Order: sequence, then C-alpha cells, then structure tokens
Amino acid sequence: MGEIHWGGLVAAYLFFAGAGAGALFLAAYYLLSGKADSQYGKRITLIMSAIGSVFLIIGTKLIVLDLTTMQAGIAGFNVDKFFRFLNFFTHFRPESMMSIGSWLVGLTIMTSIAFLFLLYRNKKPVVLAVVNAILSICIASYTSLLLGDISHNFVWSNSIIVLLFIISSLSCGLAILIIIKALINEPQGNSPELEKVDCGVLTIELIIMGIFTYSVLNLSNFHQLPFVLSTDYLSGNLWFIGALGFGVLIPLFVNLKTVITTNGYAIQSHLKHYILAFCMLGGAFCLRYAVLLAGQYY
Amino acid sequence: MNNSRRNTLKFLSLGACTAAVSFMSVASSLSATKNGNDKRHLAMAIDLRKCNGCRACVVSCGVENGTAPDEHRTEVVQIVSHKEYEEAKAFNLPLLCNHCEDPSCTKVCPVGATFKREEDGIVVVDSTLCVGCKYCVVACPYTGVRHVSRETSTIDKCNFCIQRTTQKLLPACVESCTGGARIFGDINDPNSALSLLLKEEDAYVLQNDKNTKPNVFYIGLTQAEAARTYSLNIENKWQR
Repeated sequence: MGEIHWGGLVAAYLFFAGAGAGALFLAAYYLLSGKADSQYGKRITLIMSAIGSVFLIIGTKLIVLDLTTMQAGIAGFNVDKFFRFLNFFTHFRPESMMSIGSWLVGLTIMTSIAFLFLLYRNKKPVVLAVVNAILSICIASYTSLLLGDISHNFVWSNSIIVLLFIISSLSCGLAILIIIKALINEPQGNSPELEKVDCGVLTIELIIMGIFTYSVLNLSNFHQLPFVLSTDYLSGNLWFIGALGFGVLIPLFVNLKTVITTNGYAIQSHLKHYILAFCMLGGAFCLRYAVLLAGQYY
Repeated sequence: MNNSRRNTLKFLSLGACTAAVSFMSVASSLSATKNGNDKRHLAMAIDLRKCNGCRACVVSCGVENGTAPDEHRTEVVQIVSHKEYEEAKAFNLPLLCNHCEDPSCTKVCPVGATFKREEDGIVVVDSTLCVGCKYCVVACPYTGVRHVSRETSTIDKCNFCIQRTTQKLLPACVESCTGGARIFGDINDPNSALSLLLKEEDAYVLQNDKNTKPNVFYIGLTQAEAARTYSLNIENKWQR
C-alpha cells in the first residue's frame, strides 16, 4: 500500500479549480449565447463569473497552503519559506504540468476578474468571454493532466480521467447555476430545460465513471494488485458513495423524475434545488479525492 | 583586372571562413567527445548476500549529512518473501534514491529544484529552490525514498553524498558498510570495481517495468522480488 502525500487540500484544490472552470465556462456561454441580455441572465452571468473567479482563488490558496515551505513559513514565522511559493512564478518549466498549471490558473484568475469588472461596468466583453471559455476548458483538463503526467501510475495516467474531470467540471458549473437561479429567484419556465441538460451531463458522467471503474479493475487484475476503488478502501467509499451515489445517481434520479413527471409548467421547490446542487458539488469533490487517493495507494 | 582581384579576394576570404568554421566544428566535436569521456556515470550495487542488516549505513548517512535521527535518506528494511509451497525467505533490503537515468521526479518539478547533474548523473534537490509541492514524491515509483526535511522544510533525499563523491571519495553508506555489501563506482569506467562486479553477477534493478532506468543494482534478488514495490517506511517483518 502506497503512502499518501497528496490529501484533502490537494483534492480541494482540484475541486475548486474544476468547479471554478465550470462556472467560468457557463458564464462565458451565457454571454456568447445572448442569454445574458435579459435582466436575470445578466445577473446570473455576473454572479457566475464572480463565483468562478473566487473558486479559482480559493483553489490556488489551498494548493499553496499544502506546500511544506508555506506550512513551515506560517508555523515558524519564516518570511523566506512563506514566500517560497513565488518560485512558481519566477520559473517556467514547460515540461512540468504543475508549472504550466500555475501560470494557467494565474492567467485565468486575471482574465476572469477583468471579465467580471467589464460585466459590472455594463460592457459586453465578447473577446474575454471566448478567452475565458478556452482557459476554463484548459483548467478543467489540467487538473486531470497534473495527475496523468505521472505515466507509470495506471490509475492517474488513464486517459479517460481527462474526460471525466471535464464533464465533472461542467456538472459543477451547472450545480452553481442551479444555486444562483434559486438565490435570485428567477421565474421558472414552462419546460424544465436546465434539468434536461443536467440529465444529459450526468448520464455522460455516469458512463465515463463506469468506463474508468472497469479499466481500473482490469488493470488491477492484470498487475495482480488490489482493486483500490473497492469499498475496502477510503478511495472506494468516496468513489461509490460520494461520487457515484451523491454526485451522480441521486441528482440524476431527481432530475429525471422532474423531466418525466412535470410534463409542462411545474414549480420546483428551492430546497430541492439546493440539495440537488450540493449533492453534485459534494460528489465532484469526492470524485477527485477518490482518484487522488486511489493513485497513491499503488 | 580589378574585378579579378576582387573575385580572388572574395574567393580567398570565403575559403578562410570555411576553413575557420570547419576547424571550429572539428574542435567543438573533439571537445564534446572529451567531455563525454570525462563524464562519470555514478551508480551503486548492493549485494544482498553480504548485507547483515546492521544499519551502519543508515547511521553513517545521518551523521555525514546531518539529518534528524528519524529522517533517513537510506534505510534497511527486512523483507519476508513467501514462495508458494516453499519456506519463507527473509532478507535485508537497503533502499535509497535510485538516481534513475530517466527520472520521473526531475520532469515534474515545477521550479527545476530537482535535477540530474550532467557531470555524474546524480539526482539532486536544490533546497533553496524547492517549494515542497511533493510532486516529485508522488511521481517517483520508489515510495519512501524522500522525506520532508524539518530543517529546510523541503524535500530531502540521497544524493550519493555529493560532498564526498565530487572529491572522488565514497559515499558514507558505502564507506561504513560492515559486510561490504555496497559497491559504488563509475559505470563509464570499464575497470571500476562496480563495472567488473556487474559483468560477473546477475543484478536486478527494482521495478524495472517503470522504465526509469535506476542506477542502484541489487545482487541476490530474484526478478520477481525485484519487481515488487518496497517502501523505506514499511514495518520490519522480523527481528535480527
């Protein structure tokens, strides 16, 4: 059994970066598709891009807090160690995915804040929306490539993780959208459009999770190693109960029920929206934590 | 007349330039070959048949490198290898950084703090640059060969006692090995004790399937045993 060096803080970083990227992508989509032209649409775009930026900043803070030099700098009031993280930005190494990622996240934080500022000033930053959409896809991919770069680790180097993390980022973005819509009390339409989109995304996520589970099981058997996504391990519990159960199956069931039973206008309770969204967000965190742990168990 | 003189001068200057460039390229390639020959390829062989598990290597490493008593750059773990229908085999297994030819730790380092020295192939960590992201730790297939130094708060690992080996001295662990199990030297030198030993004996590297081309060779280990994952931090299975 391998040793765990990357734990909750790194998992939280992967989650916040992924969810932030999802939110920024949807904010850009709202602006580019013209949905932001309406009064509610504009508020949603504004809040969504603000949440996206804040999530990216929180994620960056968390990964910096995980640095051993930062922890020692805080504990020992050591200025040199405290500011050692700046080495990320004084060195650029294109062969290191973490180096690429630090610059990518830094750049995205800046563009997302610029996007937010222009939106707030009643401008329509189309170019920045396109840039943000591209950068958010890059960030969603990067969080998986950070792990996938370790080629000898057959859990992390599994190519399907890239798709899994991208689709999970999108579902996080949708969860944030659900929360915002409930918060601003947007009038609900005649047909459950968001629920339909959510169903589609969650179904794709479910299929990808199935493929990933199957491939890890196969590779574990091939290498004669224990299946670390089984419920004997914390990674397996997080995977099946957190990521699959709470993150995908429950929201998918609730959404499907809404789509099938409300054949037309039906008011959904906000409590249901909040529960649904927090299930999806919690599931996305569990998904990343499970993958992070599973790769280190080997 | 003027034209022909000009042409002659042009021709001569062109010739001179070509000769100069040719000479430079020959000189630089000669120097490159010389440098290539001068480069050392430091490696270690560990003869498990001679390792008595005294851990003198662990202690001397700590003394030489000033690490804390519970922080080890090398450790001797005790392994019990069960073979089906046969008696269990127990052996001492000294572990340390493998100073791989194709190390996964150097590629992933975001600040270039972990790098492989060109002159001797030693993989080192620059503690003044390292941020402590632990990417090298998770990228290395050999678990446990690194630790976080309490003194520097950065990643620390074996560096083949760089302060000694650059002066053509042996690493502390090799010098102190009571059984003479650790053999250190330059693989590029065909007459070194290490090269001669590796020619004579069947030596395996740990987890060869990871394709990192380690430079620590084990003698007395079967291929199956070498393919297993070992950690510096495992609990010892039996008492001496």
